[in-house]
Amino acid sequence: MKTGNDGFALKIAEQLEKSANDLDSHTRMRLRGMRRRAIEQASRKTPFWFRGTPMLAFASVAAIALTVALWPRPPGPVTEVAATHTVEQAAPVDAQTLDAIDDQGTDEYPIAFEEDLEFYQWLDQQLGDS
Amino acid sequence: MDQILAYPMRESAVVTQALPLELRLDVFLGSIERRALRIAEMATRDRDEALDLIQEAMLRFVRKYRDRPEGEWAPLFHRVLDNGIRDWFRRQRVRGNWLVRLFSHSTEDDEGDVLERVVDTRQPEPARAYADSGSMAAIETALRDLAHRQRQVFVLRIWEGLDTRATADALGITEGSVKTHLSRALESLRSQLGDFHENRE
Repeated sequence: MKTGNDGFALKIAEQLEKSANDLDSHTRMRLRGMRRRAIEQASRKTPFWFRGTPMLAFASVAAIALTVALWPRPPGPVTEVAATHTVEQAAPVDAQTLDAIDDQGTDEYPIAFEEDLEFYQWLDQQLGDS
Repeated sequence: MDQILAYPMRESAVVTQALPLELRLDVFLGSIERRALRIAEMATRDRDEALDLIQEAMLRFVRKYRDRPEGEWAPLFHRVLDNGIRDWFRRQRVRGNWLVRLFSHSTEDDEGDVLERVVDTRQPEPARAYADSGSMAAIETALRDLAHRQRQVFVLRIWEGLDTRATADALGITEGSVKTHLSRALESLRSQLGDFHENRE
């Protein structure tokens, strides 16, 4: 479909081409300098040690975040309550043990006393009843 | 309309892959830089502004697209350049709006593109320019009077020699829009440069 527009448009294009080719030398030099700068940028290789740097930084941050998230924390309040409760339960028995050690006048721990603790508790109860 | 001839039926500056990338880029940019400057200059109406846009376009093109196939370089370069031109227009519009607010007492809201309403007093009417200083001035004036998209489609399709698809890719529009814009651009140019057309055919 070669219409009248073809010749019309091509004539305009010819004039534009001529105007581009008739640029003054100063402008041409500036264009050449710009081209050189752009190409120099292309020829500057990224240092090998820098190529993986963004990925390495991301991996480091992710590893630190994961470590912090999984790091074991100190026991919470529930554990502390449980420990206190156990100490309170054991307190009377411990007191008896310490009294027995004081009665013996020795620092040695009476193993047999601990092994027969239930017997002594029963005995204490019988004596109390009588 | 789609089969309209383009000037000068460019074979594009594709050079052999065996050459170093820097040399291929040099050949390509050297083949396109003057036309690109004229395109930017027609949009900005200022050579220094146009040169800044060309520098930015070259740097961005090399940074982003140097590894793409050379057959794609021309539309990609023009896409980068067109984005730069449109950003320039946006900056001018913002600057224009601030100036209007600062120095105008009008309370009316400014709607639309300020630049579209600006009359370039430096340029004569196309017909008068043709009579005064030759056809190039008339052509430039007529092209400057086109809407940005119409002008871009015209220069890429007709002058740069990109086909419809490459022009659409470069400007981020559909092939149908390219045809529409080209048709309207030609219609407008014919109405403004009628004498040029009739006298020289």
